[in-house]
Amino acid sequence: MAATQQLAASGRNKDIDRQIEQRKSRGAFALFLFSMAVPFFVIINVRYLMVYNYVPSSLDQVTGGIETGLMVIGALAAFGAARAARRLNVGGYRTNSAVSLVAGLVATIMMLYEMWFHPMNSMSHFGETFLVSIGLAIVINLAALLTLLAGRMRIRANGITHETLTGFESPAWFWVFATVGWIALYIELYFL
Amino acid sequence: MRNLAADALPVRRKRPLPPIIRGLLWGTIAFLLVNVLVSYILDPAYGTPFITQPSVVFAWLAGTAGWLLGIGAWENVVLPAFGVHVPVRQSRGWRQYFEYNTNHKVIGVQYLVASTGGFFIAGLAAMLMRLELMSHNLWLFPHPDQYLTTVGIHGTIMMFSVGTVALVGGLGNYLVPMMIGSNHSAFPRMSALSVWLVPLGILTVAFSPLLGTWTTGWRGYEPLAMNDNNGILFYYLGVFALTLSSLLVSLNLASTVLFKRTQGLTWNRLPMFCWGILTVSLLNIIWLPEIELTFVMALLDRVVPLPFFTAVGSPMTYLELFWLFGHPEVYIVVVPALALWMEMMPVLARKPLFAREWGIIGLIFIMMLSGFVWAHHMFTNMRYSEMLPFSFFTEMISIPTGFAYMVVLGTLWRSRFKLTVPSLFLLMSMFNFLIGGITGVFNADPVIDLQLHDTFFVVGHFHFTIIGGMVFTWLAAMYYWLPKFSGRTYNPKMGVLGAIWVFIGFDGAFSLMFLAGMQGMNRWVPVYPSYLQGINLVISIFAFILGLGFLFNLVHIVWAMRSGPKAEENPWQSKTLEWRTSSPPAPESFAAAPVVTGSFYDYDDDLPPDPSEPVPGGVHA
Repeated sequence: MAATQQLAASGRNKDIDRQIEQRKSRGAFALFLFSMAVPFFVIINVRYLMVYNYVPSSLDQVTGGIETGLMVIGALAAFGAARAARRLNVGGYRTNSAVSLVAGLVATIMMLYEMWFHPMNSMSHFGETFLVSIGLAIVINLAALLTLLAGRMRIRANGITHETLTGFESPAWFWVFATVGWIALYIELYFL
Repeated sequence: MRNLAADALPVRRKRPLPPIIRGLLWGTIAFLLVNVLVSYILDPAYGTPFITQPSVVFAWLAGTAGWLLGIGAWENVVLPAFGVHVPVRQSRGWRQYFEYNTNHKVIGVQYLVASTGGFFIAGLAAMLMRLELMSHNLWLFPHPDQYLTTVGIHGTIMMFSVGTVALVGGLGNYLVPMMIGSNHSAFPRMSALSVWLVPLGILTVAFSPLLGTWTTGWRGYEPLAMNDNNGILFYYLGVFALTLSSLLVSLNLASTVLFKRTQGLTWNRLPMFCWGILTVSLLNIIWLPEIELTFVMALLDRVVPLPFFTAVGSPMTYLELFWLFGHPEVYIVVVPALALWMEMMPVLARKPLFAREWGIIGLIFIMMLSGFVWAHHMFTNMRYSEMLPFSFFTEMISIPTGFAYMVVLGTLWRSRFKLTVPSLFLLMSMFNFLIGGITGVFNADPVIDLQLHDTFFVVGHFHFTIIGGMVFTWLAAMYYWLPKFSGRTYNPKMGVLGAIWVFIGFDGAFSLMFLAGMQGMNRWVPVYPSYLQGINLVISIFAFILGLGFLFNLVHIVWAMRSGPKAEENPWQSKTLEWRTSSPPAPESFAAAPVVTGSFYDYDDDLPPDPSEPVPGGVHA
């Protein structure tokens, strides 16, 4: 009886240790996201330095809106992927991350289109801030999509355990971060 | 579920190519391929010239990827990330330092060696500058741009591969995990990869003249750089690699200190060097992404081109963005040095650390205030009313800096201080940093700064701060932890000789720069009035003495590591955790996780630390 209690206690301790380790990993990842947020702060401030609140009439808010919608759909699926990872649900993770990947890829391609066929003069104040801002979003999106794809392939090959859980959660949260960053840029570039 | 791991290749007994050779090969092939692709296929001018601005930027990015993949990222990072495991045989002995390795001590040594290499490359550039300035005429360099490019290479490599890297990437990676009782850092793969960006960044900057000269110095000023040849591209790219390396290291070390501390190692007991690394890592995490984005914008300005920092855009924005990072950068360099003073002094003085809490408060307030002072670099471009707050905060930052200084002085007061080689370097560092600090107060005053701006007075000031504060402390730390690194120790007479040698060279050269500056010697000019030739000649002679002194110390340290007398396990009787490991430490530093039961800085009792006793300041495993 005593031995069983001891075993249960040691199992509980293991659970607690595991949760602590997971929280530490999440904390470290939050530090990484904090660092990645700095370029967004900089570019938003630089834009205000250069053009204040000028928005050219030729800018297409609808295209930006569709991109934002797709990013949000991807982010909602990424929430689902993170939740599936916490439940060690391989199928759920793969399904949700597939939705994030498809929606994110389409949104990123649309951003690339917008950057390439920009409807304003790139040599103007607004034009240059627009190009660099949307370029930043594209780079972050591509990095996030690549990590999501890697996570999806890795979970298929190796499965998921409590020890590797945060390695699958992080790409999902990175996509959510990319979405939040884009929403800030979208509101600022297209409306304010 | 198909198991991709089952398809993995078997372990190779022998690698077909050493990782460095493979990295160079893959990097070169990727560089050439992408350059050809861009310049021959995508460029309407079809390969004329062979290297264009866009082609070299894309080629450099591809070359960097090839270098990192070749060095070990392919089988250690990329394939595992996609679920494919390739068992890799880890080398032992000297070979482990020339490949991807996740051991934090190996990474620390790799960073130290890369940083030392950068120090001597940049030092060579400094010697060429001083050679040129021995005469008031242009005699060594055929064109002033070549002199200015040399100045830029010197400053860039010194700041971004030595000042930012040596104490954080080098000593931080080696010591911090051991100091907090951990066998690993938080993200070992991240640092294992980031270290290889340092040699790449150094060589990119060093070879920038291949693309042409650049005249901006270490600041890469736009729109000045618009007038330059294409060498400035390699400045932006090289610095991007170096700052990315420092950013990754900082993410790793901050996470390590925050989340990997052993049981009982509370914030009140955290070693001072770990506090220093945590604060400097937070500075890096905030400011390095900022400057990286700025460099990307400057690069796009040139390559696309966009008019961000031209008259169409906002010429002053680059300066603002650069110095927003540029002044915290000074504290990124100095904060770990101040922390090392507080780390070493109680051990060397055999006295508890005086007012420890104030030392920590000092480090944290330096970190916070360093973001409020950037515009003092631009007093010449500002209205008087705008100068006041920046002048005020610049004066204010001397207060938390003074906390750190007073903590060390208080520890030294009535202590049992013994003059050894590390303690001698430590005192020299404090003396020189004090001169740098006091002259900084003058520069913070707009009335004086407007007179001294861009003169050699400023050159003297920041060299006393950076070399005096950081490089002398680096040398103190190298001699102090030499037994830990190698199990051997230095020759005391040679060590004292080395310390006095660099002190004379350094103080001779840079104290005369104050005088030269006040007499009207400008920076950024290879040709100057003939009445300043005498003082420049003497400065150059002291500079050569200093350069040889650094070389002497390097040779002595390398000799001591290989052939020096055997050292005791804990020759300083220090109580911090890294000294509870064997010297040199085993790959796994601690057989069992230690438990900390008290402060590391109680040296009143003068008892040697006993690992078996959970005494205050002790640990038990």
